[in-house]
Amino acid sequence: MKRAKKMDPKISTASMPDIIFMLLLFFMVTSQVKEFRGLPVQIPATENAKKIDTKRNNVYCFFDVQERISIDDKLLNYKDLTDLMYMKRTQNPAIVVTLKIDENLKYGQVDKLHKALEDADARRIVYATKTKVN
Amino acid sequence: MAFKERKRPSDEVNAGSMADITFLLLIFFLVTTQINSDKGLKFILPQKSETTEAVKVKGVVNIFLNDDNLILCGKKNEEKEININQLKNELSLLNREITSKGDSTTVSIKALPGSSYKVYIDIIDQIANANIKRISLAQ
Repeated sequence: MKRAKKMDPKISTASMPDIIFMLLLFFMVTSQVKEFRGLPVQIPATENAKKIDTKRNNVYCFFDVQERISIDDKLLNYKDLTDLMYMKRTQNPAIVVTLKIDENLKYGQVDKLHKALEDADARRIVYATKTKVN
Repeated sequence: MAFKERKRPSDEVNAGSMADITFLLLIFFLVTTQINSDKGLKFILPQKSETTEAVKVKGVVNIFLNDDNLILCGKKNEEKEININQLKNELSLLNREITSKGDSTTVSIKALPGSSYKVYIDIIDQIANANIKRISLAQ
């Protein structure tokens, strides 16, 4: 009787570099370097924080404890904010402003920001929050 | 004369460590990459107009927030002071009462300038918890 050829019990690792290369390329392509740094803000925590589409149509607006407003790393006052947002909104009517507002601010200051955005007709906003950990 | 043939070194680069190098790079990118996962509460600001639109009275629940961060909640002229933790239950109750009459609930928030943004966000969060979609900001 012909003896069956004994199988090599080792898994071939020859394709290992290919697999790893593919994974590497995937992460290299999908990772994006942040293009702005923003202001240090402590955003509030909520239970209903929903994931927001951050790819297109999105502008980050930082508003810190010292009442400084920053978009694309430029410091603005309320008037500048209206002008800039008006320009951005004319370019892209579907624009959404993600507001990173420090939780220690007063509502009156936030309301001024609201008014500045309303003046620019940039009415679609998102209050950036963290998910509350119970 | 018998020359012993010298073993010639291989002219190929040793590719054995390739996997290790790519692994290292992979792990570097795995660690440094952070997938952008911003979260938040969506909101639409009221339209800018010369004449402020009067909110229809039916189905409106008022929430007032004062400078001491005290909350008043209830239907018009029936507002009572309430704790933030009870707000969800109160709103759910009022919502059920209003929807049973066939109206839709609108929550009108009036926050004073001295109140805290954090409490304001907490209120919006609780309104979302109570499954109420329509929020208006009182001027």
